[in-house]
Amino acid sequence: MKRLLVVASLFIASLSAADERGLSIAREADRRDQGFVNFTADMKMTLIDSGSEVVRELKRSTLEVIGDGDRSLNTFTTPRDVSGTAVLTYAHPTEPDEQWILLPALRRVKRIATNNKSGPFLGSEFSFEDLAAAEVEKYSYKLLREEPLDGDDCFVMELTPQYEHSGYSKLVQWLDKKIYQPRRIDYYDRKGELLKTLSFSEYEQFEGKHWRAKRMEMVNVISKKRTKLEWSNFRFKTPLKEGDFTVTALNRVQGG
Amino acid sequence: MTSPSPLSIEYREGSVSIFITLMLALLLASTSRAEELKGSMGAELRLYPSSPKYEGQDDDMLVPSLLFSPSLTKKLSPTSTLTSTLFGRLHSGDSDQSHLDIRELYLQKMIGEWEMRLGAAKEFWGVTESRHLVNIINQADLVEDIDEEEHLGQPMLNFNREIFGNELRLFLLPYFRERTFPGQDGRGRPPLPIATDAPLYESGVGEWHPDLAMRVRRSIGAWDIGLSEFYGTGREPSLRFTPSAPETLQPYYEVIHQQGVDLQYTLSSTLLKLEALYRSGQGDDFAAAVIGVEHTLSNILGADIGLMLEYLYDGRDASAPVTPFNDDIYLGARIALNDVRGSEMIVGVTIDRDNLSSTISLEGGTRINDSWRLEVEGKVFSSEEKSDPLSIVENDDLLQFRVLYHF
Repeated sequence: MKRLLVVASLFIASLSAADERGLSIAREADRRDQGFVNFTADMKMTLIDSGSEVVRELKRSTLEVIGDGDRSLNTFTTPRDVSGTAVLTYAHPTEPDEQWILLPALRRVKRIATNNKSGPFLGSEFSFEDLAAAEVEKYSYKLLREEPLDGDDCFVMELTPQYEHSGYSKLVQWLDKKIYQPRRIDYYDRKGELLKTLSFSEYEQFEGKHWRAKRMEMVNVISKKRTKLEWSNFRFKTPLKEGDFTVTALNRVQGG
Repeated sequence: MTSPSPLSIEYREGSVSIFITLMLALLLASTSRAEELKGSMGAELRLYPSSPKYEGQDDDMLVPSLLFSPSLTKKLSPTSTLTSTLFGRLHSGDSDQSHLDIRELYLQKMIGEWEMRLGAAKEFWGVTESRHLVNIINQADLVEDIDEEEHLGQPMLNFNREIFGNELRLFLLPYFRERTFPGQDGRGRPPLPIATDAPLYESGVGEWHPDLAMRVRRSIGAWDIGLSEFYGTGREPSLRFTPSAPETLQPYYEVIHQQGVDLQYTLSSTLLKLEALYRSGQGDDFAAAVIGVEHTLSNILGADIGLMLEYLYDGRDASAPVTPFNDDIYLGARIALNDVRGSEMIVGVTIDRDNLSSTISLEGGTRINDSWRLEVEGKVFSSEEKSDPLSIVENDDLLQFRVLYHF
């Protein structure tokens, strides 16, 4: 009985040690990217379904907010019928994110609920939550093991969403030990089955500090559909300021 | 019949050449640097299953039109942009429905923290779906849509800024644009055609009455709150029978003063919405409100389904412009498939609680490919009582298809 207790407590201790280690790795990854102030980039999304390809493009600006989640403004360029549509998001570590959309035909701004996260984004293999800002507090962490992935030494971590209405039971992430950025994320659905795999490549370092993957590819392991993201024109520490990430600013977005 | 005004040109036969010249000029302009041309052009087919109710209205069951709406944005400097959007409809046959309008033509300039807009522009206020009660800056274009969902560009001097977490928007509206109505042969008009070329104004300076408007909006957690104030020529006219012109109804525009509030509470997947106004100047002072709820069921095989319930109240008296929304319930569903084609649809029904007159509306769209989009719209009016405003349009049920090329 005593022995069993010792084994159990050791097990719990190792579990919480794994949790603690996981959290500190996540915090370190967050810390290493701090100080980017803001950045802008262009995203090209290619939806690939058994040979046919469809492209969607958007421009993204992100503002770093110390002590809260980041703010981002996405403006769509293609398809042309949604060109000029813009989405402003305030990410929050524990509270639900806040989101507004500008519909350019009416110049109407609508506040939208952010709980509807698990649905597909523009018909792609990405859901809205996959593209949301990854704040440390949105997940609990557990370090599973350490192993190389395609020659890069990685921490393999299990992430459990702490926010409501996630489409996932857990994420398994391979985090590169050198650059503290993900190389791969496996997404498990609510039933615990592997659903999708996201791989990151062509990392480039900006401002001598901030690593960004210029290519990402999400593969749905069930439907075999793929969505490729290509990022370009990264610019850091632009003149953008807090006032450019407000509903007032969303209201004046032009073009796209 | 659209009225002649500085921003709207009426077309009859032989207008095609002007139409095409304008389009070509815009397309050529697009080749310059720092400019962006986009927009849509395409064809529309309206189908009217019933014969018209009034003498003089066209009895064609199928009504085709050509549409175009180019928009040119030109960056003049890092802080200033010129935006222009035209809208044109070329209607088949000899009809009053062909028209061209400047939806937008304005200079946008950042002056410190202030955004300035000078010219004809669009402005939208409000949160509810069944009626846009507090939305007042732009005049409705009833030739395009008798639902008041299409608007004309409004000449303005507008200043906007963020101040202590509030969005402040100030407007001087120096020139009033009359509401457009279907002409004598058009569908969706009252028993007598509306004399849009002979409007009456309460103000002695007519359409040059300088209107003032202001809006303050802010978000506090899950709340989004907007307060607005408008003083000027009311956008809705009363329609008057004048013995001297017994063949038509004359629009009469009062000077009104209106306070509006719009409120949304974003709670999980449920939105609670309120729009309300208090208006003086059209008969006795009155209040009107729309209160509603929208609940979204998300990711149902990838689709989002929003269910909407709204209650509409309007306390205006008989001397104010007529509204069908005095005591009505709206039930609606919004379906977004979140697919590659961006397929979406809204269906809804507005029912008068008193006499059960109703309007069923349907709007849907899906992408054919990256450039082409198919849109469907339908309306079914049923009037249970002769006195209900809907009895005017009860024969004007409509099914409409559009194929639009987006560039």
